[in-house]
Amino acid sequence: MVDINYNMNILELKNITKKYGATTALDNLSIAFRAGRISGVTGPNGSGKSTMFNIISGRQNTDEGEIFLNRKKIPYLNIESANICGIIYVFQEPKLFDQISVLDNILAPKMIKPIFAAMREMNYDRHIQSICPILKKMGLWDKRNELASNLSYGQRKLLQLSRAVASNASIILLDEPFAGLFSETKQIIKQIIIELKKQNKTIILIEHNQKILQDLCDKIFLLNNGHLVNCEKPEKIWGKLL
Amino acid sequence: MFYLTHILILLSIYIILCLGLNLLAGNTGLMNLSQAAFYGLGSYLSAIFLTNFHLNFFIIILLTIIIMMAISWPIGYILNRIKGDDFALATLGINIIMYELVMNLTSITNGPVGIVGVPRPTIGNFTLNNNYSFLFLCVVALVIIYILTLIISRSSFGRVLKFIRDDEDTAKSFGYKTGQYKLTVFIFNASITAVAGTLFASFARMIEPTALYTSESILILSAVILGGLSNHIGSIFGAVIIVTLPEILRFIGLPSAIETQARQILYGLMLVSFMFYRPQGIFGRYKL
Amino acid sequence: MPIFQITLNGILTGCIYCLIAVSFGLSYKTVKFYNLAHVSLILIGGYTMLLFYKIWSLPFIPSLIISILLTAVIAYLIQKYIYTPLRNRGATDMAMLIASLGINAIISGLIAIIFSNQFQSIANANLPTIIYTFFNLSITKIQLFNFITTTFVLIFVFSINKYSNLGRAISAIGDNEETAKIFGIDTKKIIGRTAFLSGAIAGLSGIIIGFDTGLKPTFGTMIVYKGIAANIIGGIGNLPLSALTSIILGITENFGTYILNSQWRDLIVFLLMIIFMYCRSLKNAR
Repeated sequence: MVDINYNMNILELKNITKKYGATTALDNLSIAFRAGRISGVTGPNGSGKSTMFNIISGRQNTDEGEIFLNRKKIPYLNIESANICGIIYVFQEPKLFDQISVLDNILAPKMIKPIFAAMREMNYDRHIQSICPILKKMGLWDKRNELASNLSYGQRKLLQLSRAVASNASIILLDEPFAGLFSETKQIIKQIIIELKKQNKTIILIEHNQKILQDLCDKIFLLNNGHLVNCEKPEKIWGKLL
Repeated sequence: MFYLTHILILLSIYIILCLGLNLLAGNTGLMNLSQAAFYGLGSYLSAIFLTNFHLNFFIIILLTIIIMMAISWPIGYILNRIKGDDFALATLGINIIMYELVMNLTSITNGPVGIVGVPRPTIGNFTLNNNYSFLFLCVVALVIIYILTLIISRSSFGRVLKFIRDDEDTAKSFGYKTGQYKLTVFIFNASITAVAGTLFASFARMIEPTALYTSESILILSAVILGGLSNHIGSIFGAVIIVTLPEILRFIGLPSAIETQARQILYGLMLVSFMFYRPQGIFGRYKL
Repeated sequence: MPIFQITLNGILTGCIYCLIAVSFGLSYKTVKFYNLAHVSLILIGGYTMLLFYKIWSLPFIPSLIISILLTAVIAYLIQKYIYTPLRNRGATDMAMLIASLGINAIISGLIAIIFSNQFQSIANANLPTIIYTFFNLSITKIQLFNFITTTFVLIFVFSINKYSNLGRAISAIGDNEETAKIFGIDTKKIIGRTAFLSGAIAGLSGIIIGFDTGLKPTFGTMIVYKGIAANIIGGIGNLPLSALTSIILGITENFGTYILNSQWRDLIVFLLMIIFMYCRSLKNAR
């Protein structure tokens, strides 16, 4: 895994450009995220926030630009290498394994990865013990044998988040984790994010809600038209916007 | 009674085929439209060995398995990158390619005539000319393969296959080398078809290119889907339908001239209505 | 000089593939799945013509029109009553493909029962084949018909694509169906019309195949599969390019038959299809 120096930029994008045909989604974007902090990313719709996440998580290629992890350049970022770097993407619209159970979903990050070992693994008790507290906190333990597609929207978002927690990723990309949720669920998610920060995880948060950004984030990045407009501590940025 | 053993032998062979395809299509989501081609290829390989070399039957099964695994490795590797319904069409192409190979390499395969005179297995001094004894062999093979596929689907490996089926990218993002998993299942399925093919070639004492028709592959996949994807009982049920439907049709007095067509039409009707009303098949939980 | 004759024959074979490829591509552009029932549409066209023109001895033009219309109508009905409802229930691409396999099985099974499994040709074997010669090249009447109609169809389809509202709507739906709906395009109507058009062209190709090489319900599908493969090689949504690859396919096939043994020509087509699918996935993937 990654050796993290908590005074450095753990993740840095330099001069990233991404075009879809005639549209430029990201235009010479340079942005740096500090380790162990909660960084907020905001901006109008279409400013490139989700595209940036797609690129960081390895789901899309850049046309130009470089990405650095811990000051070291990543030569080729795809989904597999993103996983090795400890990056995980929590989508706004929950992406789960719909046709298997909640329990299997959350076991996914925990099981043995190499093939022939996986063929021999039949007993999940120790895994289940380690994720039981997470599921209970989310209120999903009772639903552990339900198919993921049968859950409500809020439960699906919680499940996706708990999977990310269970994966022990060190860089967690959250795309509007609070969107469309009741306030109780929002509180749970807020608690989880605070807990993650205590565990020294790096969190990058796309969010439109100013209050949430102000409460949670150590630093806020403002994106517009595919490049960085401003980055400030929360108190300062709202002063400038208002 | 003789007829019944004949049916049961065919049934065991088809169950074996369906179990293998189920692992690939039901658990992993790779809709393979070339199962009959691999099956036919396995039959041809074993037929060539059985007619030309006088080796022990089980050694020949092993040889066929190894060669099929070797052949399926590069095929699976290339298919790994092709997604979704492109994959289905690509496997259809593979089926056609294999059929053409079998039809045209006449020096090895005798072309359209096929290979005849394939002997029954000989264990020690005993030759399984009797259908009952051959059925026993088939059942043994079936039980072994059933247990193997069950273990695989119940293990972590099987769970990961389902992750790949539902969302391959997300599975990758958790660190699973999905390409390796897909290749492994593909090669495993190929070895299963090798066994089924050897059993058939030896049972029927011959093999023809008609076994590699695309319609056969479509039939086997349809059976697995109708029975219920990623469900073992569903696969068995699907195989039962394949084998018994023609018999039922014959029984109710359908003229034999339109038998194959009637079966085909019934299959088509079942497929379309199932896609509408019950996409998970009869016993399955996975909706296509 | 045989080269020109072979090239001509190749272009003519390519014309058939062209019709199949273009009609298949039109269908795919709007519904976004591989409609394998297309095979049976071609059979419907050919066998209806067989019924009207040869068996019932009706005159040529009315039989032609009826057969094409019938195929188009059936294609439209399948789209309206089977594919669209399935999509509305949230069927995946794979489920649609399986359903189309089912429909293909039903239709080709019915045709096989009604017309028997034997190889049949619409052309009257007793009449001498009318051959036209020009510049030392010969072409039969049906091949000339093939060429002329294919040219017309291509011109028709390409101009619709580029200049008409229908064409623009098809491209819009091809890019993104949801967005097209937002822009006020009645996607159901457009998809229905495209199915009609695609069916008509498929029917026409079936008729030409019926005259030229003959019909056989179960294994005549090879020609259709090759047309589909040509479409994929050319780029599934790209009609002009797949028309071009179809012609090239026809030419190389005929040359292949002349120079070497013809046995591998089918295999090569599908090998190319898979190679192209693979290369395309490499380009798109990470």
